[in-house]
Amino acid sequence: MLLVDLAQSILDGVLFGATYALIGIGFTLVFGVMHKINMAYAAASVGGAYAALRLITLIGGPAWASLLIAAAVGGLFGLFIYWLCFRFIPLSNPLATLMSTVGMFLLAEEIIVHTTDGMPQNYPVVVGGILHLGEFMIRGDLVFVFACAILAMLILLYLLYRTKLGTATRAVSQQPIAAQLVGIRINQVNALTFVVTGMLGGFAGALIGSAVGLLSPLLVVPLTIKGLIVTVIGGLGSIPGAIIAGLLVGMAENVFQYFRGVTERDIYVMLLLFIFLVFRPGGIFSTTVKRD
Amino acid sequence: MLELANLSKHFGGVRAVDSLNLKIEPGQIFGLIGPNGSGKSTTVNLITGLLDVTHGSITLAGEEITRLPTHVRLSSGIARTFQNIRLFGQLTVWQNLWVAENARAQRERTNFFSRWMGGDRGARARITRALEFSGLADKADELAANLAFGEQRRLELARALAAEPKLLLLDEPAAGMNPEEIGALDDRIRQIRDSGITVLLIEHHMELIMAIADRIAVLNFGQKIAEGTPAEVQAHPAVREAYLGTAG
Amino acid sequence: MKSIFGGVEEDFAHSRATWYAVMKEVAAKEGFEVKGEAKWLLNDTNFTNQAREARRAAADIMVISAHPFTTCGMLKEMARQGVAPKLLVGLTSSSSLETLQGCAKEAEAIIIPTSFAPVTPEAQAAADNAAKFNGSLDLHSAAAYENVMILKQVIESEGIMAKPDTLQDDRNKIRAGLAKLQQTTGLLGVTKRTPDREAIKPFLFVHAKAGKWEVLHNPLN
Ligand SMILES: Nc1ncnc2c1ncn2[C@@H]1O[C@H](COP(=O)(O)OP(=O)(O)OP(=O)(O)O)[C@@H](O)[C@H]1O
Ligand SMILES: [Mg+2]
Repeated sequence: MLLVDLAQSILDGVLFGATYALIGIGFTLVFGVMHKINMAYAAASVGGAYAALRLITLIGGPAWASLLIAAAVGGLFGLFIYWLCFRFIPLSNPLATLMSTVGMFLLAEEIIVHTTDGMPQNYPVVVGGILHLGEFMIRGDLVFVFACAILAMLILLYLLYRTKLGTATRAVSQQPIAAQLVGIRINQVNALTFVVTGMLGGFAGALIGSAVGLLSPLLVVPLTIKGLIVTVIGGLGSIPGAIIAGLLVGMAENVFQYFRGVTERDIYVMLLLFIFLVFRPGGIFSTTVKRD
Repeated sequence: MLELANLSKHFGGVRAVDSLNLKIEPGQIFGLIGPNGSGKSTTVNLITGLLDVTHGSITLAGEEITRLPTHVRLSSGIARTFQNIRLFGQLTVWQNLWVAENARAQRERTNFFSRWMGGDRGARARITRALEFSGLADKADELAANLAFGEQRRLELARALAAEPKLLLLDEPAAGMNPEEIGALDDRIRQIRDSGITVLLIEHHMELIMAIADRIAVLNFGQKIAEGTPAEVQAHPAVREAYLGTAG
Repeated sequence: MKSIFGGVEEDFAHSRATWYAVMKEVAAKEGFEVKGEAKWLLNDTNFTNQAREARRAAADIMVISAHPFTTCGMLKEMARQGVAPKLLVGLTSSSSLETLQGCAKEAEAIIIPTSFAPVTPEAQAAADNAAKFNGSLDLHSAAAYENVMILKQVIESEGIMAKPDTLQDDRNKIRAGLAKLQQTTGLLGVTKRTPDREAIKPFLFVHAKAGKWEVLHNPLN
């Protein structure tokens, strides 16, 4: 029984960790390109899911369509955040965009609370079903989230490493002045990065909504914190790192909870973060690309 | 090809470039020399649009570009190298040249797919040619950061050429090179000029610049103190004074 | 029905108090077999472990002492894992529209003791008034409404002048007036006080039925 439960805890944790991974990818991608943290990312992602839920209840349509709507709205939010919080703010000041995005985070949360009276909103099941293997259960929706995270990673890695757009994006992050001098418009590349991460975020927000079964402003803070932890453990700027770290944190959370109970769980997750910060500050893969 | 009229750049109280007038004829190698801090790099930054001018104007091939954004100037045919190397260190040599084709893509207004997704069929041949020209053919897949110093300088030059410029600005391309490498650079700059590209060459290496420049201007404290053929400039008293009067 | 299992939001005082100090103790005293409890935190989103514990406990009665957000999360996970207790009981503060907005389907039939439902003419009138402004009167807002009404009553009975030079006087009078109150009249009837001035409010039981709260048992009648 113990072994089955432990295995089940690990599996559930890893699968749920895929949602953390998706949020972590967003943080890490913006960091990789702009060397800035977009604190509003998780809030905007959940916001995208809210907007999609609203629209789909309004115009009707299958639940899966909400994923696509959320991605589109998330992309718009990303552009909006770029314009408001980055475009006209001095990037040389390390605190400026941090504060502007924290402001955006609060604004997003406030908008959510006002438009929904703070009530949790039921989110329809996008992918249902549970696979039973004796005592063992595998949730279909979480497997779907997991697959989406892997797919998102592959697409992003392809875009970043195989296309000229991605190569240009990396060029901007490594050497912005020279990038300008080869005709890359930094503002465009940055804006595009925000659109792409925003789309991913909206998609992730909707997936999370459907996995939790609810949207609530209460999702925002924990997701932001988990996303940041995942980004640090995975290595700032590393996409594969964010995925592995997301799954790792999800798993660790569930296993700690299994052994030590829910009240101690978060202490151990923070301890894990602490251990990484002390012994492996560059994250799992330790290949943070530096500006040269 | 390029005309600077009354060009000035002030940083607070520092007049880094002070009422500079220059006219560079097409097909020339134009040398720009001067002691350290005399405003040479600042002039290049003004021409490329990395810095905003304080006063004066810049005209390229008859078209005023003083206030145009950098990417527009590039598509009208300006490219440059940097005094302190600025390669994309974590990209391969090949990728460094690949992204640099951007200026060209912009000029030709190629569609999104061929511009960004790698659909441009001609790129491979052009990049291969550029690599051969710069003697980097066997380093194509090396990360730029892992190249030897001289190779990095060559890659900077190749990257600037990938934009297919009409005017090439070289900011101390020989800095840190050994005599053998400088010899090869000398040949390469001449070949570039002979292919029809106008070159503005900034150098501290006097032998090189005196050998290849068609015409030279000398800056001191942001002002032009002399201009002429290499022989004329060398003979100019103000030049001697400026050079002997500073530590450099 | 003999056995009971709890689900508690461990980081929230009234969720804990309701389960540990009230329901769990009373259940044991009344002869129920208490099968333990599953714990989670206010912001939690993943209830796989907790629902499994509930499934293993296989108690007849499941009590969830948590806010609507995690109540819904837990109920949804229980539904996924096929945990179906014979009786489902929720925490007072979940008897609001929030639970129904979040998980009407999974919350169907949950029973909650609450201090408000529009069962008296006064309560109905107040609820109608709130509805006119797109509000929904629930136990929280009804309590706020009652508090304002208590203040109104004190202001009237103590002769509050509300003039600039009577300010200090008014404050003292309101304090004294409130201290005097032994009982107040709320929307559902009379609210009494314990000697240490905790309120003893009328209560009733509601249950979720087809996406609405319906009165299941009204001890007031
Ligand atoms: N961004 C800047 N802010 C303030 N002052 C600057 C800036 N860039 C250059 N300067 C100043 O402008 C003057 C000219 O600098 P510039 O780099 O153009 O000289 P240079 O001729 O290229 O020198 P070197 O031969 O050492 O490369 C110097 O006094 C320098 O300190
Ligand atoms: Mg210089």
